Amino acid sequence: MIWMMAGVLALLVVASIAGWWMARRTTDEIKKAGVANFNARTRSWWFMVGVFALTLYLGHWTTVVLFCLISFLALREFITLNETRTCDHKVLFWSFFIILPIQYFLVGIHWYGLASIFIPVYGFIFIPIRKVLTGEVKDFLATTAKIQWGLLTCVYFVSHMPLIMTLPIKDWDGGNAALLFFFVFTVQASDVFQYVWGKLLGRRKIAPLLSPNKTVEGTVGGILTTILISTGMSWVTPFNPWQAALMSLLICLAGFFGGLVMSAIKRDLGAKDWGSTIAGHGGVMDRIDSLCFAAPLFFHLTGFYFGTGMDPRPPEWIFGLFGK
Amino acid sequence: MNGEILAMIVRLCTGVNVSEVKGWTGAPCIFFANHASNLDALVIWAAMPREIRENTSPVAARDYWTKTRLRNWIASKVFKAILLDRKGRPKDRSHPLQAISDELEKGRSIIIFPEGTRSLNGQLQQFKPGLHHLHHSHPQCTLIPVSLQNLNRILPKGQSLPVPLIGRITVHSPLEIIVGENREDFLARARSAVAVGLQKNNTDE
Repeated sequence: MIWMMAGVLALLVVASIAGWWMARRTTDEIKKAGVANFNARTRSWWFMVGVFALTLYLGHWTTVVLFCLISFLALREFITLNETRTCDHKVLFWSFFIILPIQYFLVGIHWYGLASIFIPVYGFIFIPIRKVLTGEVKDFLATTAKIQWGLLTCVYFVSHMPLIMTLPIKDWDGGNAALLFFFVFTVQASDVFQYVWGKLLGRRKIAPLLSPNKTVEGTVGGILTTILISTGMSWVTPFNPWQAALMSLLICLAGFFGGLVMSAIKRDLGAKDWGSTIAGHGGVMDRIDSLCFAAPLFFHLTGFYFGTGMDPRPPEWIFGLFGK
Repeated sequence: MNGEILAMIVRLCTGVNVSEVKGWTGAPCIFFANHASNLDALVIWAAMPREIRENTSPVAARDYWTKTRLRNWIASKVFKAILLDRKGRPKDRSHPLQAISDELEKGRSIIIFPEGTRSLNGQLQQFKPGLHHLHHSHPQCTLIPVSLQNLNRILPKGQSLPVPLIGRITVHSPLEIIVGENREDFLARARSAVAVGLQKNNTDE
């Protein structure tokens, strides 16, 4: 854990020095804006890494509260950009102040069984019922679905990260904080290295409409670099090196597509960023979009193959396929 | 001190912030905005730069802001609103705009809502003649249009609990003064100056 933290700090120091050096050297006005954005991003990274490391250090409940806050800010950005109707007011109030805190409370008290179905079952049934009580019919499905999607991506998916802290793992006592750190590091490193490789040698755009800054070179280079680093970190996880490599490939792909999906929604709404909370990055949702889809996948795969008490378990022969 | 804390909380919760106001010289201004929520006056006041905030009194509804002790304290002691009766004349039979005029005479700026009442669906309504009346009796005051978005979603008319969405405020350049303009043209021009800053943010028609 200490060594991972030291590695991240080393990366940040390198980025800060590189940014300072570029800012001194650049005279071109257009390039200056790019360098300024790079430095704003790096400064925000210092802050985010600091907060994340501190909450992990302080323990289970502070981590739950941190992710609860992240969900709250992300849902706020999601609902602000998505059009809702005046009659949705009560449903929105329930979503922000009752459903969201309950979800994180369930995560906090380690009630995996309810936390993993609370929003898709109880939340999703409650929302249209509360809405139908207003007697309004216009855009009923569209507005209900928007609110449900907001809760699903911003709250339910994101809450799988603190849920990793509660996952019991067979024959391993490395500490689940390290596992959560491994996951968040892999997703964010993939974002950062895709950005860096894209800036250095990006030529061919991979999804010009959805995400104009993403390039084939950046994406492939970023994912390969990340897999290399994450595989090297396998000793802090319950995975052996090739399991760690497969896991980080999956995390990177889920992160990449999560980012593209959230970007598609954002562009359809006519926005460039979800918000302006984090300098250089945009909104909270711009930073966590790649975590959304990867978190539940990582949680459940880790749980199925390495966890205990995660019923229903897959048949034994599946374990055989993946070296367990 | 209390005012600074309250303004900070409001800015944090609604995400509104104004960094500079064109046309502000320290002389009294009339800020006029669209009206969709009981929080409008508080939010515009809180979003302003400190120097302007300290010299500006928002106009707010008496019945809402005196309903509970907390609201009463906030309105009278913290953001120092001019409380207006929405129904009928004040007890002393003075002109309803007298309290606002007095404030301008004292050299303070004001925030008013020329629609007179909150819009139910976020659409801009017709302006009441009050704005023209104030402009006429205080021609030296700069008129500054303000557009406030999303407040009708944060606390719509008829709801008591707010939803934490991100608001947006646009302070426009001062309204040009045209000598000899009649009331209807003036009000229409003032209204369109506010409407420019309002994009579609609610699917209600």
